[in-house]
Amino acid sequence: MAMEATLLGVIIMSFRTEDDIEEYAGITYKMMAADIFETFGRPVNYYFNMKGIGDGLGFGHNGVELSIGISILDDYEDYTKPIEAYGFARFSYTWEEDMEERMPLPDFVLFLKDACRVFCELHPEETEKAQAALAKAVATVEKMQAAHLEWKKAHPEA
Amino acid sequence: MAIYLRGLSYEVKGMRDVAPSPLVLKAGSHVVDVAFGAQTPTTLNLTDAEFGDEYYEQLYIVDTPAQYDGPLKFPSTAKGSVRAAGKAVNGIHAAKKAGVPGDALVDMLGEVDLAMRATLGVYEDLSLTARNDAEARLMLAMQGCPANYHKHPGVHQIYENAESVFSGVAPGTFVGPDGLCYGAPYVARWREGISAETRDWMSVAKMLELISGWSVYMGPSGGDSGPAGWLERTLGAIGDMIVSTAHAQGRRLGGSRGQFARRGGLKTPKRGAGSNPRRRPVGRNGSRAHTQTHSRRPVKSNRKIKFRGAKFSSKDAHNHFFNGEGVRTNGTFNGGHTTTTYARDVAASGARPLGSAPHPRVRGVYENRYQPRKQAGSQGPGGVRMGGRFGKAETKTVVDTAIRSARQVMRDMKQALRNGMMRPKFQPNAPYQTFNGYTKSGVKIKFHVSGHGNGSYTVRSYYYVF
Repeated sequence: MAMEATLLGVIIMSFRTEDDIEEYAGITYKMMAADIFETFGRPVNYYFNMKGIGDGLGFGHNGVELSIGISILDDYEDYTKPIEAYGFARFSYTWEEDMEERMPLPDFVLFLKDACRVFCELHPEETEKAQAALAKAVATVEKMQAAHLEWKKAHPEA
Repeated sequence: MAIYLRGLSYEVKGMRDVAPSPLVLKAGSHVVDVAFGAQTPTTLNLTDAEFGDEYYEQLYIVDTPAQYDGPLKFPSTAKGSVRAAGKAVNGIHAAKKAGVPGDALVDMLGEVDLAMRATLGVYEDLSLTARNDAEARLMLAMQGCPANYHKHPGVHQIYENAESVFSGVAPGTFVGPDGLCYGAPYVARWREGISAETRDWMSVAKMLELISGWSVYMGPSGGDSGPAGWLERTLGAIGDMIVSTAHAQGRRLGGSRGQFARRGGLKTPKRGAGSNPRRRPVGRNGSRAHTQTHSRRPVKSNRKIKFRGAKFSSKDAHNHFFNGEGVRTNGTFNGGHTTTTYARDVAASGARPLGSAPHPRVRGVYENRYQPRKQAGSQGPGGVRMGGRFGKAETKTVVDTAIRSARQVMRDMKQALRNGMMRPKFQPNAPYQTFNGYTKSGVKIKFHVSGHGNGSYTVRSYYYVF
């Protein structure tokens, strides 16, 4: 793997294997988010993940979970708040009750775009299909973000 | 072909005069699981030194080859399945008399239990909302009600706690297949109007409970506590039936059959097996015992793994891998990375399997995709009932322990852990971290490890990754 840090602090890497993605994820994202980011490396998982997000639910791999929307209600077992109140994506491990990572939805969109970029570098032949899947997922997340902003406007105290 | 049996300390017919002595497994010989007949060729010379620890398994040569005759299949009607299961159980009873070891009996019984549920399409734990026709009939029969009883004139919905109704605390009412509570104030339903078909379903419920209670029934000593003709007697007298519901309190102590009473709504015996509440409870149902036996781990698997002064405690992780941590209300199930535990959890939760892909290089490792099903009691926003709906899709990597044995899995884990902690990503002082490791043959395993300082770590979870 070729890797260099530029003056701006941006990491430039070339991706040849899925282990490169693992390393990049470890440098770029927090622990749980990095675990999820790694799973985007394999084509079968990439489309699986993007579909889960496009459906507004999230997904899980071996207990490493990403929840958005209604799945967050299940995670917290709190059904009093509406879905729009949660303006973030939640990363968690099923075997750790008291650990989680949150990522605001706008950041999450960037996260997805980054995953798509890395995936396309690794599998350039899949670029078109991958971007179509990304577009669907991003549309869902942006819709959720819009709903969240509206909810926030109606509930400024929350 | 020489065949070796693992972990069994009993005498085999024709071997009575031979003094048992520990053997060394040579490469190229075959290890056969007695209950399932799965063959595993030995690739290494296994000795005590190989495991780095003394272990107490005895190996015996047997000259009768074990043969696997495929999974049990029963007729799919209630009556037919009870009859076939009865026959099978009587066969097992005969095997017990002939001196077949308890482990094998539990395996057989688990198989009967699984076959019965599979043919009827009945899930392992009945939830309070029926998921298919068979389960609806069974659920009603368990409460002494004919099918569609909740639609009879005079029967109306009442507002009681379904779980307490179902467990017999409020006997004047019953739970319908839709999970709602119904009351029938003036219909004498307990003794009248039970059709032959309902009676068959009652037999199914009784049979399932009997199979589940078998391990208790035999007693810890495995003595002659199983009386002859127990099947006929118990099937003849259909009284109150106990089947655990998914979210009602489970059966904690064994040995209870008969009336509902006392602690947790269940009767416990005053003396003898199951009377001591401090004793570790026995496995609650047959297929659990079945899966545990199948994916049985080598003894002393909880020993700390030590590399260069670092101590890894892996007991919980092995438990997570081989046994799993059960189904949650939202339908996801944690751990259980073997094919048997996966099948168990899918059946218990009614999850929707989406597909399975084999590992490109490692035989016996698969990546399964499934959609968990929310269990009875699940809610949605505003308290909407969500039981029975599907949640977000998940993947789980599982290993078939009939192909890649539990011992091999643990050896893989040890090798990969050693490799993982020597890779640059490993941070000795991190309180919590994730890293991958490779075995000597290049199999990738992912670890989630918490560190406690002073070179001591706990492996929280590990699994194969593709």
